[in-house]
Amino acid sequence: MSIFGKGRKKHALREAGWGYSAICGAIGLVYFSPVLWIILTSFKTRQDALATPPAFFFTPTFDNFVRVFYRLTSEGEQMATGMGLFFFNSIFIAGAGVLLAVIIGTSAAYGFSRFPLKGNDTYLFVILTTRMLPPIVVIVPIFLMFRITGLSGSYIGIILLYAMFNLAFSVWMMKSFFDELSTDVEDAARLEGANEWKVFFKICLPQLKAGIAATSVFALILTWNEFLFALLLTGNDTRTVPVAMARSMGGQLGVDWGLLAAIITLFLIPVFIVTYLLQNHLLRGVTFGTVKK
Amino acid sequence: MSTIRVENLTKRFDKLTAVNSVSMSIDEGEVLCLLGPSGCGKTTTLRMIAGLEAESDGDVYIGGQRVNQMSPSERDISMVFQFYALYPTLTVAENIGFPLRSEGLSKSEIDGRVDGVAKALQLHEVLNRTPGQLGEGEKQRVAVARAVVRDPNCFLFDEPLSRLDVTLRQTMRGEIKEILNGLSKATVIVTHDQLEALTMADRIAVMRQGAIEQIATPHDIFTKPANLFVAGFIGTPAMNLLSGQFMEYQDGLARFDICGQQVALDVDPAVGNQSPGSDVTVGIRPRAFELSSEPTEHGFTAEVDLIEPMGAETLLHTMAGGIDIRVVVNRSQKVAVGERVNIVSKTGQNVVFGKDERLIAS
Repeated sequence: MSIFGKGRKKHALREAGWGYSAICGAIGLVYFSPVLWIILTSFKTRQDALATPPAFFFTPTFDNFVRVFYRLTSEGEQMATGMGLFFFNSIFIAGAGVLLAVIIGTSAAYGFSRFPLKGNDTYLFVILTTRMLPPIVVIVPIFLMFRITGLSGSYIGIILLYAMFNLAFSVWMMKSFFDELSTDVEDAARLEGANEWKVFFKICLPQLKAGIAATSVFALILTWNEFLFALLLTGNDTRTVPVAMARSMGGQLGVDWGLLAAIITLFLIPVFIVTYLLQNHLLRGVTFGTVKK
Repeated sequence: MSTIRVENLTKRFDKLTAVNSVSMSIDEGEVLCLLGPSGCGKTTTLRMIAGLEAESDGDVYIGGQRVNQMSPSERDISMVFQFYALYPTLTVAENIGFPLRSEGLSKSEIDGRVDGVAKALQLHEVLNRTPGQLGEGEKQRVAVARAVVRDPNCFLFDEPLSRLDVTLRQTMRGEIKEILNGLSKATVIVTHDQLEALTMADRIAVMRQGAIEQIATPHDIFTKPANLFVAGFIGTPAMNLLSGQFMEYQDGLARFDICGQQVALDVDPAVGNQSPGSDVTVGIRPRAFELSSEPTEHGFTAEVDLIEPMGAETLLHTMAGGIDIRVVVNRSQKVAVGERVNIVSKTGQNVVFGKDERLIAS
C-alpha cells in the first residue's frame, strides 16, 4: 500500500513514516487553527481583521500590541491603559495561588499517603466533593463571605480562593505520586539516622520533581484562564487579564478584534513558556507509575 | 555487645495475627536465617526488630537493652532491603555516605570510608552514577555497602538475594557470608530460599503462619526436622512423607505398614515406645534411597512413573500402592518408565512423626 506501507517497513517500530507524520501534522493544525487565527488577527489592522472573505495575506502591524498598553486620549496624547498591571496581577495571583495549592497539596498528600487517618478515604472523598459542583453554584455564599471578611478586591482573597480550588486536584494527584514511591526507601533513610523532615525533603520530594511539575502546570492552566470569580472578586487594582479582556470588548465601535487578539496572544505567552520549560517533567509526571520502574 | 533478643513478639493487623509470639536470640557474630514461605510473617518480624513496625506485644532487646520505645535510627541497625531501597536521586557515593552524613562525620572522613567500602565491593567505578544506571548486581552491592559502611549494633537483611539471577546469587551469597564473618555482629537474614538459609546461616528459624516451627542449626534442621511442616519444607526434592502404621520395634528396626507394603526401617529407638497399630508418618529423603536388584524388607517395590534428569543426578517418581515416592539416583543408573524397581532406604536417615505431626525422637 503505497506510501504508508513503504514508510512502515523502513522505519519499523522506530519512527513513523512521512505518510503518518503528514496526517498527524494535518490533524494537529486543525486543533491549532483557532489559536493560529487569533495570533494572526493580532497582527492585522481593523480592516483586515473584519475582511470578508478572511484575509490570509496581509501586511502585519504591531499597532494592536501598542494599543494594549497605550491608548490615545481625545487630546491626542498617549495614556497607559493599566493592562500592564493586569498582566502583573494575572501572573502574581496565578503564581501565588498555584504555589500555595501545590505546597499545601503536597504536604497533605504525603500525610494521606504515609500517615493515613482513620477514615482516610472518606476525607479524600470529601476533598474531592469540593470539585463536584460547578463553581458557579457556590458563587453567592463565596461572594458574601468575601464581602463580610473584606477579602473582596484584595490579592490575598483571590489567591486564597484559587489555592482552594486547586487544592483538591493537587492533593489527589500528589497522593497518587506518593503512593507510587517505595516506602522502603524512606524506611532505609529512617534507619540511617534521617529524621522525618529529612525523609520528606531529602528523600521523597526529589523523587517527585516530575509529579510536582505536572501538578503545577495543570493547576496553573486552570487558574490562568479563570474568569468568573476574578470578575466578581477582584477590584480595579487586582483585576486579572481575562476580566480586563472582557471589559475591552465594549465600546462604541463594536468589538475591537485586533486589540482583543493582541491581548490574548500576549496572555498565551507566560503559560506557553512555563509549559515548554516543564514539558519533559510534564510527560514523565502524567505517565508516572503507568510503567513500573 | 552486638546481640538481638526478641521475646513473645506479636503483630496483629485487625483480625489477622501476622506474627504470633515469636521468641529467639541471636548472639554476637551469629547469623540467623528466618526461613519460611511467603506471607509467614518473617519480614514483619524483621521490621519489628528494626522498629519500622510497631509490635502489638512482646519485647525487642538489642545489645541487651530493651528498644521497644526507640525509633529506628536510635536502634543503630543496618538493614538491606529486598528491593535495595537505594535513594534514586542520589549518586552511589551519596547513597553509601548517607548514614555517615547523618552521623555528622566530616566530609573527608566520609569520602575515605565510602572509598574503602566501594573498593572492597568493586563499586569504585560507578560511584558517580545514580541507582537507575546500575545493574541488579551493582544495586545489591551498593545496598550492602551502605549497610556495612558504618559500625551498627547489628545487621538485618530482607531477602537480600531474591532479585539476582542464579550465577550472581551464588557469588553474592559467598561475598555476603565473607563480609559478615569479618564483622562479628548479630545478623538476621530473611529468606524464602532454603539453599540461601542452609549455606549462610549459623542457625535457621523456620516460620509458618507467624510462628516459629523450629530453630536449629542447618544440620539439625535437615536431619531432625521438628515436625511435618519443617520436614516437607526443607530439602529439595522434598522429603517423602509416607503415612502408615507402626507395627513393632525389634533389634533397632521398626516395622511399618506403608503403601500397602511391610517395611523394616532403621529409626530412632523412641519410636519403639509407640503402641503397635498407631498412625505415624515416616519421612525418607529422596537421596536416602538406593536401588537394589533384589527386593528386601528395608524398602519398597515400586513402578517408575516419571523420570526427571537433574544433571549429576536423576529424580525418579515411583508409585507404590498409589503413593508417589521420590527417589534420587546417580545419573549413571539406567531406568525406564514403567519398570518395577526395588528402592531401599539407607540406614540412619529416616525420621518418624507421630499423629500430632511432631518428630518422635529420644
